[in-house]
Amino acid sequence: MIRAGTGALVGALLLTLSATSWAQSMEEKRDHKLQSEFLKKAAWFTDYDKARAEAKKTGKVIFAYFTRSYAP
Amino acid sequence: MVLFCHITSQVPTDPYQNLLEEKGGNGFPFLAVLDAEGGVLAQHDGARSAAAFEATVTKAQATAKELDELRKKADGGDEAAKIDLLLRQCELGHVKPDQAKARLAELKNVPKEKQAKLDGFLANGEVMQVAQSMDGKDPQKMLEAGKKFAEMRKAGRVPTDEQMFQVFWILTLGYAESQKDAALFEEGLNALKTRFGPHIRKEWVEQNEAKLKAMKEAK
Repeated sequence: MIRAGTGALVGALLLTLSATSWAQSMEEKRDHKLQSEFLKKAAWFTDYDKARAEAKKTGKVIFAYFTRSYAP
Repeated sequence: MVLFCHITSQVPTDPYQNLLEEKGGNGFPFLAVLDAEGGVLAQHDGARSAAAFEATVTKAQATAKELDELRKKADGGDEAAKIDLLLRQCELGHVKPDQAKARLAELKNVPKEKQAKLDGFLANGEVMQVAQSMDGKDPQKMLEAGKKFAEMRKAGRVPTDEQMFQVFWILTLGYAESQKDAALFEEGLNALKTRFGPHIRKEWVEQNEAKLKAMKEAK
């Protein structure tokens, strides 16, 4: 019973750790994408709310480019 | 124009992770021109060149101007402009079905053909909502959906969007079969054959024509 309990605890910890490391990996990939060269070449917004606020303020349309960071 | 790059990151705490799908995209990269509310004015589906991007932006700006002008006239009480504004917003997907329904109820003297278009959009939205609420291919839920669509058909509300039209009639066929309603089944089968003609698999047509024949003979 003790072994089963320990096994369940280890299993839960492993799951938590792997979920945590997956989340960190996704964050790292996102941060890496945010360093892309093309984003430095012009005034790109990466915040949707701020892009809309800017469009409202200036009366301009938004040119939206959708990409991903979790996979190539 | 405002340049906006959205990154789908799968980081749970990052906001707007479903934005691609909401804007009509289904793969990466996806390019669209939005208004300040986030409404899609145009999707870019041409070449990835500066000239092609410019053409998409120009088209989007023309749409934005058209909407602005209609809005101003509608706000000034122009009933025809209110109708055209709603129609245009439905075409662009800027209005949810419930909102469109509420606004349509307030419109006066809607010309027949525009009423039919608006009814079509409302039906598209209704069918989409039902389809999205269905859990996989639960047979009971499919029958319930088919029953709802049969009621919509009775009330003259049939979707105009190609995908929704398919969903609508295929589920209605299933319901009609369960009720041994040969007339409704035949109507649905003919509607699909008329709309999609040679694009439908021959085996599927033959299978369903055989079902219809059996239903008629059983009467």
